[in-house]
Parts: sequence; C-alpha cells; structure tokens
Amino acid sequence: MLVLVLEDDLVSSALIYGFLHEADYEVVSVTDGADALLELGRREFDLLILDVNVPTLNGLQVFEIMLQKHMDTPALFISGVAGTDVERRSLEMGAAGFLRKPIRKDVLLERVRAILPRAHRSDSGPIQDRGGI
Amino acid sequence: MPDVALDPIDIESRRRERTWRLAAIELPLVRLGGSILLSIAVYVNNRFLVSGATMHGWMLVSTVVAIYAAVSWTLLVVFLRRYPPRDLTLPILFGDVVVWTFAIYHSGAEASWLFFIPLLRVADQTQTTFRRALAFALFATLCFAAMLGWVVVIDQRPIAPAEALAKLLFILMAGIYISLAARTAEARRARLTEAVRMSRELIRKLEEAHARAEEASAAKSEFVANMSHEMRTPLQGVIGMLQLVIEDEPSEAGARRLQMARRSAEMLLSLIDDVLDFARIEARKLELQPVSFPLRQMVDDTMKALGVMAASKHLTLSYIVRPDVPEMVVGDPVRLRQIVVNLVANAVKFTKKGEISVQVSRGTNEIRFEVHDTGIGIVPAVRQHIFQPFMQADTSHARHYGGAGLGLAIVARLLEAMNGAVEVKSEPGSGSVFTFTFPLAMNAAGDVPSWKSWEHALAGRLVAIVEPAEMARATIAAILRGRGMFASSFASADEVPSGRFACAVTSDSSVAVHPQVVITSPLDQKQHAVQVSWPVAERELIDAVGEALGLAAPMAEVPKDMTLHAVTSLRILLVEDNDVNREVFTDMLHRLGHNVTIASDGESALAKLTDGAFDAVFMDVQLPGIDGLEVTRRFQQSGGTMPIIGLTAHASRESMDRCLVAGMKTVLTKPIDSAQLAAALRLFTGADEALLEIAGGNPAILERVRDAFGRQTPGLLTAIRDAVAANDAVAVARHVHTLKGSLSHFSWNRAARIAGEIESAATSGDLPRAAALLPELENAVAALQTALARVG
Repeated sequence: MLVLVLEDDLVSSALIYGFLHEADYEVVSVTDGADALLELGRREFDLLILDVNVPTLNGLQVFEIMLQKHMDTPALFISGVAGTDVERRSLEMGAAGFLRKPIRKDVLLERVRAILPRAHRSDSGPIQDRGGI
Repeated sequence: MPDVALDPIDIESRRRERTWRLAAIELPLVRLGGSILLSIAVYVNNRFLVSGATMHGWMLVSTVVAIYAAVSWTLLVVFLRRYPPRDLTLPILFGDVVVWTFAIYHSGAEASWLFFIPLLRVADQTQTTFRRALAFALFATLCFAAMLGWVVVIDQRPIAPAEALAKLLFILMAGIYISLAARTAEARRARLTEAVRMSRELIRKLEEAHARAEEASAAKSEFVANMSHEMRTPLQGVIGMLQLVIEDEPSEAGARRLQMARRSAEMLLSLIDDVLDFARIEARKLELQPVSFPLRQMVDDTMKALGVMAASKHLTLSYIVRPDVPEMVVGDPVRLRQIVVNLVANAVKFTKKGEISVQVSRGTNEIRFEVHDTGIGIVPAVRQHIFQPFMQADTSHARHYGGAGLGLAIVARLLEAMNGAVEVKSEPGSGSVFTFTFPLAMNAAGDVPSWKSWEHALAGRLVAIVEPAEMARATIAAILRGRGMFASSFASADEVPSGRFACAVTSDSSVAVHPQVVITSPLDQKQHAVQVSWPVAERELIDAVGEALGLAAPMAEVPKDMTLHAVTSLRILLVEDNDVNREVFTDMLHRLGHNVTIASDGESALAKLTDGAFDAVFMDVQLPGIDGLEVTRRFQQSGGTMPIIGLTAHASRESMDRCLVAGMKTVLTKPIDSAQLAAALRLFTGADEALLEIAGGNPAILERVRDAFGRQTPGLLTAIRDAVAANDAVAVARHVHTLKGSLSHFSWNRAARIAGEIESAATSGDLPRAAALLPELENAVAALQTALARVG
C-alpha cells in the first residue's frame, strides 16, 4: 500500500512517515504541491495525505487537479485549525476525512485503516472483491 | 446629534470662513444691489421730484457709487487675504454713509427726498449692538449737518433754516429711536451666547465626570481582584491543612467532620471566585478562549463532578447527550463547564426532593442544554429578575439557601459573551427548566462516536428499567433505545413481570430480573456485580449492560494515584512566605517523593539558588522584599537555567503574562493540588517520557522527529527574524504558522502557545508585539531542543 504525504513541516512529515512505516505502509513524502503532482504522475498511490498550507500548490489545489483528471485516489487532509473553511471545503470536494495537528498515532492509523483496510495483506495480490461485500 | 465644535482651532477657522463669506461675497452682492437701487432712487428724485437737481448729478452719483462699490470690495478682499487678516467691514460701512451723503448732495442737497437714506444703515445695524447703531445714527446726522454746512459755506447757497433743522432733527431722533431696537436684539444674543457657553461647560463637565467614573470603575475592579486574592491565600492554607489532617485522621467521625469543614472552606473559595469572576465580567475583562473540544466528554466529566453534590441531598441526577450532538464543538470549555455547573448547582440548591435531569440536544444552528428540576419553582414576578446580580427569587430564600446570588448573573453574562441565550420556564411548586443555547460552530462530520463491535448485538433485546425518578427513568430508556433495545420502564421493583426480560437496569437490586446493572448513588458503598452510579454516562451504561449480558469484558480499573508518583526523586526549591502554604506544598511534594528545600523570602531564595543545584523551583510570586518575579529575573540574568514555576493567587491573564515574561516556565493558580504540582514537574523536568510519547513510544520515530526538528527549526527561526526585520507581517505569519504546526506535536505547549500568539499578532499587523515575543519563542524552542537532545 502506497501513501503520498504532502507536508512541508518536516516534524509532522517525520511523524506521519514513522507511524505509517511502522504499520507497514510504504510512504512517499514531498514538501511542496508541484512535487506532489510529479509523484502522482509517476506512479499510482492508494492514499494521499495532504496538508493545506504548503508552498506552490496547496493540498486543496492538488486535490482539485486530481479530480479534474478523474483520479479517484482517496485523500485525507491535514488542517491546523478545527472547524475551519478548509475542512468544510475539502469535505465538499470529496475528501475522505481529515487529521489535525498534533498528529497522534492512534488517530492517524484509525483514519488510514478506515480507508485502506487491507494494508497488512498487501502482498496477497490485487484485491478484486469490492463489489462482493 | 448636532455638530458641536468645541475645539478652539476649529471654532476660529469656522469664524474666519464666515467672515470671509460675509465680507467677500454676501456684502458685495448686497452693496451692488443697493448701489443700483440708489442710482434709480437718485434718477427718480432728480428727474421728477426736485427741480434743482440735474441729470448730470445723477450720472455723477451713479459713477461714484459704482467706483466706490468696486474699490470697497477690492479693499475688503485684499485686507482679508493679508496675514494676519484685517476686516475692513466696519470702516466701509461708515464709508457707505459718506457716499450716500454725497448722493443726497447731488440729488438736491437740503431739498432732496433721499435725506432719510442714512437711516437705513442705522436700521440694518440694529442686528449688531445698540452702541454701533447709535454711532451710525450720530454719524448720519453729522454727515447731513456737514453737507448743509458745505452748501452754505462752499456753495454760498442760502437754505431755509427751519426746514433744514427739522430734517436734521428728524434724522437724529429717528436714528436714536431705531437704534433702541438694537437693545432687544442684543439682550437676546447675550442670552444665546450664555446658553451656548453653558452647554459647552456642561459637556466639558460631563466628559470629566465620565473619565472620573471610568477611573473609579477600574479602581473598583482592581480592588475586588486584590481583595479576592487576599482572601484566597489564607483560605488556600486552610483547605490544604485540612486535607493533610484528614489524611492523617484515624477516626472516621473525625474525618467526616473535617471533610465538612473542608467542603465549607471550598464553598467559600468558590464564592470568592464567583465575585472575582463577576467583577471581571463587569469590567469587560472576560476573555473567552474558543477551542475545538469534545463536548460529550466535557459533559460527562462535569456531570460526574456534580453527582456527589446531588447525591448528598438524595436527589437523582441524570443526563443524556442526544446522538445528533456532534462530538467536537468549538467554544470555551472552561466557561461552558462553569455555566453547566452553575445551573445544575442552582437546581440542586433549590430542590428538596426529586430529581434533576440535563438534556443536551442539537438545534438548527445551536447546541441546547436543558436543566430540569423538581424544585420549588419560581413565580412569574421574579422570573425576570433572576439573571440580575445579587438577586435571589426571594430574600427569605437567600437566608434559607445561602449564596451571593451571582451564579445566574454570571451564566447570563457568559452566554451573552458567547452569543448564546438563557431562559427559564417554571411552575411554582413543581419545578423549573433552565434552557441555554450557544451557537454551534461544528467540526467535521465523521466525528460521531463509533460503536464497539459487540454493541450491535444489543439491538432487539428486552430490558427492564426500574427507577422511581421519572426523568432519570426516561433518560436511561432513551439511551438504551438508542442502541435498538426494547426498554420497559417501571417505577418500582414490584411492578416488573418476571420471565420476559434479558436484563434489568435498576436502582433497586431486589428486582427479580437477572442479570442486572445496579444504579447506585455515588455516595453508596455497597458493591454489586455490575454497577454504575448516578449520573450515568451513556458510554458507562452501555458498557455495563454489555458486561451484564456477557458481551463485553469488564472494564479495567486504573488506580489514579499511580500516575502521580514520580519515578525519580527531584531536588526542589520551594519559595513561599506563607507558613501554612509552605507546609502544605512541602508535604505534597514529599508525598510525591521529592526532596524539598525551603526559602521564605526573595533574598534567601537567591542565596540558595546560587549555592545549591535543584531540578526545579516553585516560586510564590508575591514575596516580601524582592518578589518572585524579580528573583526569577536576577537568577536568569546570572545565567541560571533551571525551570522556575510560579505560584500565584491572582488568576488573571495579565498577572500570568507578567510571570511568563519574567522567565517563569508556567504559573499555577492557588488553590493547587498535588496533581498540578506533579504535572508541572513532569512537564518541565522529566519531559522525557512525554516526548517519547509523541513518537508513539518508538525511539526510531523519535530519532526521525528530532532530526527533522533540528534541520527545520533554525531555518524557520531565521526566516521569522528576517521577516520581522523586513517588516513583512505576511511572511512572519506564514513562517510562524509552520513552526507552530511542528511545535504543536510536543506536549511542550509553551513554545506552541507563544508561536500562536506571534502568529495572531502578525496576522493582525501588530509587528512590534510579534517582535517582542520573538526572544521568548527562541528561549522556549531552545529549551525544547535541549529536552529533545536528552531523550533516548
């Protein structure tokens, strides 16, 4: 399972990387929106974790571009302040949820697992049973 | 409001403008009109009335008048434009009379019909002063006399003496009479001037009185704050000592009496806090600190705390938070808790028997709290007064129930500040409902508490609820029905039919249904297999039912004191001048397992700080001689780095800020319990475990974090410094925001807090404040970096 993390604060990024890596997810970290788009063009991700306050293109803009290109990778947004416009807008655009700083391990993993339930068995081949539930 | 100009400069400039308009525009226009009229009058006089007058005379008069009008206007304007300006209006008014006399001379002199014209000047001057009008009357007479003299002496022309004298007298008398009219106008204007002067004086006095009142009000709230401080300190001593005595008291009866004494002292303390709070609200010093917080948990904690109070009056306290209430809301949790506590405590106070029930629900754009009680109720006449300070429903109630009557006034003021509202419905004798609402600034959806997996198995099961209190019974039923259970409610155990129910939730353990969850009073010591106590939290009830039905494992109990006891013993310096408080804190610190050294004033504290090595210092802010702030400053100037934690009875934001600026790590407000002391020590000395915690206990992750922090922070601090130097508020805000984000992960909230303050200062454009806070931020970040380096 491959996760793209767009976060310019190195501390937050290190924590997210650490927690996800520990839980056997593969993580690619970028610190600016343009790099995120480059990575998105290079390979396919299972989940995006996007901070809103980043240089060049912010998380919302990256997400918007993805939507225009009909890429439906689920995205979690990181927002500094609770109850803000950013949260409402990202939800309206179809975000899968969000995280607030400080990043806590249990919260992060709970949110990620809710979206990617089968992280630990990623080597058991492609999952085709979405319709079978 | 009319425009009242009190500024002298303003008044002067208006006066000048008025003079200018009058002299340069209005009067010349009048004069032009007057000149034309005069010319016509002279023409009519010379052509038709007076045989001696000629057309040549008319042309001469018209020419002279026209030239005069032009010259006088030019002179007026030229002199008004000079600096300082000179107003030539008056001389020109006199000049007019001379010109008119010239016109009379050329329209037949003593025989002219126009001899009365100078009287017009007297008439128009009645609008000014009597003296001025009279002067013109005399001047007009003089001019006429001079003209007669000219005719007799220069022209050598005989005139009829009686006729000439009569005209002269006519001009004089009429002039004097007309000028008398000026006296009336003068008196009226004097009155008007006086009225204006008086109103100006009045306004000045009002402004003075207003300023004095504001000063007095500030002094008053200062006084109240100081007084409550003076009262809190000894009371804190009493409470602390009582706590120590209670812990050592062997006899149970003695301990109970001491408990009561302590509770009374605590009540007194809360009363003082109420007064202080109210004074602060009245002085508009109330600061709300809205944050996103878990509402359900706040309600759970608050209600549990109030449960004992209700139980000691044998009242049943129940509550429910409706499922549609969002998990996280934005507001000031401390103030909200204060409102809930005030209303419920009020209900407990005025209810003799029965129950109190709280319902939290969601309106369209608000959160609604309802506090129902079965108390004495409030008659309509007093209902409208109860939110005013020092008002209780009835003065006899005040004697009976005690209290300052500030609780509801505080509630109303707090809600006003939150844009909320409070109202009361009541039926005397059968209870009251206090309803308050506050606007909902909700967080994201998806925050609704999730069910545990076994909870789905509750649906469809039959449960009997046995509880005499009606609202409490309904609350329990509503919670269980929310999980899909079929709940039947009964007031007593006898009514319950046997054999149908999967389990019972009951306050009476004699009911013949098993298994059962027994609801007890929080003061009840009896043990049941599965029990919960009033007020029952939703989570607690569901877990208990699950446990009774064998669906969930019993809850693990964590002894609370375990977390307080420190792993390592610290060397602590306690600086406190009050003997009682000193003993209380020393004892608390000893019980936490630390070594305590004592200083009772600033000088000895400084001496001890230079002599010995300590891990932390607790410092009373108010000390005789050198105060705690000064000690902290001097100690840090001499290069001392150990954390100093302030102890103060002043709970205000300003006094806390002073402490932090002086260099204290944090400030604890008295009364202080051992949990607070322990938390402060953990935060500022043994931060290691807390830091490891942010990495989820994984040293490898902590290593990454430390590395990231070390790589990123110096650059950010430099960027912030540069942006401050370049006066670029936007850049300051952006960099500080990033830094705040990374600081927020550490339980080292001082640095994050300062970063937050700098960010909001920069956002509002207050760069000087941001710059002033910068050294503080750098210190806090440095301290965090040191702590990070120590870990692992």
